[in-house]
Amino acid sequence: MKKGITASISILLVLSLFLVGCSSDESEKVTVDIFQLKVEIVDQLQSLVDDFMEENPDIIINLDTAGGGEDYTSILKTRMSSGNQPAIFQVPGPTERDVWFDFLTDLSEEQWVRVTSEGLLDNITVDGKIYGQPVNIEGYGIIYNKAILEQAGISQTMINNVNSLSSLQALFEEVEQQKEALGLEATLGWSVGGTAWWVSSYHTFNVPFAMQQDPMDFIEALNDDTANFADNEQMLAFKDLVDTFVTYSYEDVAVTDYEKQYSDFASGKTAFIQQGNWTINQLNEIDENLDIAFLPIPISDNTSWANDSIPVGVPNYWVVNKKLDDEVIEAAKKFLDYMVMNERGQQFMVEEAKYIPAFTNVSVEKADPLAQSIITYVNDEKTIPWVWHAFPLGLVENDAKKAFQDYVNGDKTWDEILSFLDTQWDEKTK
Amino acid sequence: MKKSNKLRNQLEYWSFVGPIFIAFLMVVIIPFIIGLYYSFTNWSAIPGRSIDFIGLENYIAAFRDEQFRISFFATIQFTLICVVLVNIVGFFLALLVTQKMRSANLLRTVFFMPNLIGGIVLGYIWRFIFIKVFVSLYESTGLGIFGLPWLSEANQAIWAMAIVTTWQFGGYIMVIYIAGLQGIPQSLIEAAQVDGANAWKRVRHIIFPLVAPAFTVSMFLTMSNSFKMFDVNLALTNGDPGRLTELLTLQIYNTAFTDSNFGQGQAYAAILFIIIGVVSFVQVYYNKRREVEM
Amino acid sequence: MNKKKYQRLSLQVFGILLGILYLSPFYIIVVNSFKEKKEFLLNTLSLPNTFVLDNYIKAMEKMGFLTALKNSLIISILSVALIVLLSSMAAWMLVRTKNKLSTVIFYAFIASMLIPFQSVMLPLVDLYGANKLNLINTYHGIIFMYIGFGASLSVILFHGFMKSIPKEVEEAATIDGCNKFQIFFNIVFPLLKPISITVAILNGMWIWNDYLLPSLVLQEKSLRTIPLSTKYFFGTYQADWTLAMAGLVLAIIPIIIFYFIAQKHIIKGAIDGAIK
Repeated sequence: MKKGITASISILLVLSLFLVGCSSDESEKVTVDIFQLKVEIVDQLQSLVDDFMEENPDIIINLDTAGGGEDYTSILKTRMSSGNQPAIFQVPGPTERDVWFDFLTDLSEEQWVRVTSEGLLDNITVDGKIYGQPVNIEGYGIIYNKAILEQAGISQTMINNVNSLSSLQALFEEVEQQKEALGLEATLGWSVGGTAWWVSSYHTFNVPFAMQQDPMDFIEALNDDTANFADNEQMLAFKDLVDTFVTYSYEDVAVTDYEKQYSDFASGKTAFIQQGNWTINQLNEIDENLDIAFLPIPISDNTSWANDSIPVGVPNYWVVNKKLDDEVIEAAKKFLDYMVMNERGQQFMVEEAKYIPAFTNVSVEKADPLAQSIITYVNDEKTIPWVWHAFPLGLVENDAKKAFQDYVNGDKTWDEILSFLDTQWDEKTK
Repeated sequence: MKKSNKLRNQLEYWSFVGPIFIAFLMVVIIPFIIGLYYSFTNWSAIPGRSIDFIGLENYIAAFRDEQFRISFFATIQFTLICVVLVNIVGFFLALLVTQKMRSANLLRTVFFMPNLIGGIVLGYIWRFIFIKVFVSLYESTGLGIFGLPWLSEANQAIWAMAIVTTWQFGGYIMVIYIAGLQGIPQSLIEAAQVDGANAWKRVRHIIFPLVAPAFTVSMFLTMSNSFKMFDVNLALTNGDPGRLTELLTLQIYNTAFTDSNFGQGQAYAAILFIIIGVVSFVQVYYNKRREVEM
Repeated sequence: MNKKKYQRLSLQVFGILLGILYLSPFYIIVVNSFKEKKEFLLNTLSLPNTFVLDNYIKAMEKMGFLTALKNSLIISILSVALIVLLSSMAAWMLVRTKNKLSTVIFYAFIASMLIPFQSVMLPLVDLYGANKLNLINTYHGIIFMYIGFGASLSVILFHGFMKSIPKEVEEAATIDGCNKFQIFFNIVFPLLKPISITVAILNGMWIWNDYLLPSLVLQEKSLRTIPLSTKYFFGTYQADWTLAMAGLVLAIIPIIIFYFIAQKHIIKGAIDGAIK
């Protein structure tokens, strides 16, 4: 018996040596590793990849996805340190663009560049050279439930006229008055913590930046310390928006989770939420027939500040790793081209992934209500940019989150919050 | 003859100790030393970037950093609570399941099971319990303990983490206490019973001294485990509110990965290592002395 | 006698109540693994209106359950077997050879328990990466790492237990001309059964459930373990909670079975000892 154990262990040992290193030998073909972060569209993307490989038998594409909703950059970093580098990966904006700059292939000469909608390449352009392909566009704002507002006797005109903080407050107040009659738990669903911390730290926090004269200049000025949060008008005004959100949202905005936020809204327990068009699938899982659309996120009554616009941006860019062999780079470019210029790619984008396309040659015929609402804002040119991808690394995840929670819990005054942000920003850019 | 004997002994010694020691060196010690080296640099972990030696700067920054101080004290508070709770619970679970009863074997499995859930699902379930289940228990029973702001205030949130850790880790420690308890000859306990010693006296005078070695190990494990706690912290509070419940390992992770400041993160890790080292040394030394006294 | 019976009964009841309390979080997992997503979100605590087995089928498909199970089994079993074997060998030699070197090595094992994993993970990935040792994405690479990380606790546990093994038998065997290997495998190792099982349980459970290390060194899809594959229920903005819970149930069933079986052996071992 004892000998049996010893023997079986030695067999296992030997076996383990045989089990390893079985990499297949396909020297004729070019292998392209894609590393992306959208778990939601893995199946659709895989089927696109399969079709691409069928048309290009000399290219093998391995699609890999970072699961767990974790920080994609962290995983990308370990992957790069381990020497197992993907050929195509994703970069969200200027900060990460600079981090990975040594790895980025110049894509300026690609076909799809000419059909990319205006302004969408700015975040991925350095010295006139374009380094990435926009994945799609997304937008967010205050989503309202038309049925509930109708029930509250609010006219569409009143809703359409929301273009300032006071008009938004008036709308919230109207609903708040009838909260019980409407069966609402809260007027607005908003959160600064739990699994929904990003709702405020990324999206709400973006608004006062996006409403600057020139947002990128402002960030630049914060970086070289010629501007400060503490004496910036938009930042000071931002307090009123946060106060409004706290007043009309749940009692425990500090711990409200994302699941609660969207399921309450979809089941009619809140009349408004601050969210983006990506939430549509989750909302529809609970109620398929929601009649919903976006309102802007105004921070003041100042008419020169784009208080009537919603933030629309590119969440991620596809980039090609420059450090790999030329034929891999060429194959990777070919795939990116296929995604935009080929009909199959366009079908993936619009019908399967349900993206709002970033390209003029791709049109959407049947968009969901939230995407439709965003397209309307885009057509009316009432959009402001997404700028948090240009913030110093970690500022949103660590510092903005803390700032919101400290303010909401009453641990810090607004002035203290602003000077805290100043200190942290300087610390991270020194 | 004598020389070859010595050589043979050496060879035998290393053929027993060698394999695992080499794995241990290669996997733990060498990376740790490389990590220590990085703590004196501005390492960004981006391949191709230069790594510059910056001396003690990261260590000095650690002592100036307010967040480090907050995380440090939160970690101490958390560890103290955990060491007490986990050991009490683990010990009594072990006592319970070593009694002669039909369900003992089943109960061991039951108490051990919480070890099997971790990560995001653990966080979701316990957040749900603290936020929703406790509130409805409060409404139906009126017991004040359920009405506390478990996750929204830092103090309670640290207790909440300790409770979840106890639930998770109590069964683990129980296994170690069981091994200790089973080493006690049944005859000794029966003899005491015949002599009229009540349950408490039996525990105090017979069981405690005999499980003292298990206690030393368990306390050491609970302590280093609490100091290094990451999973529960990330899943349950993720530092909320206001990074006040961000324990040191989570802070190391955030500094390294989120702020992309790996050199600084390594310096925090080195400091954490020293802290745990000192505390554990004192604890083990003290317990070993007690073991003898008992 | 009656009083004793009563005491035992109340202890039994208390134990069962405590067990139920301990299991209550599992109730949430199991119940919701049978629900549709909508019902899960709106009525988390209630029993499912209609039992949906779909979640399990979908979860298995999405996780690539059989591949993940195979990977988890290979990695866990080989790692645990090697940890038990190698660490008991080392612990025995360290206890039986009393010299400075043994003391230093033993203290090195203890001290390393204090190293936070976060502080070695990046150097580790760097060192074992494709540019250097190239052990990323292999079974033997991760098994080697588990042996290294599991060494400390296992050696410490064996070391502690070794003291209770009488030296006399070994000495007699030495006189009979047995070499160290024969002594260890024929005499000592069988005596270590209870602690070996404890070590196997603690390591097995840790390795089976470990997420962080495999997430760093098993980057290829075909090598994913069960904990790695369950992470794919979680996206950036959305989580398939019902699938995740079904996946979790699938993931913990094998280890509960393992524990239950091992558990019986511990008790049997203890009884064997008592009879002698």
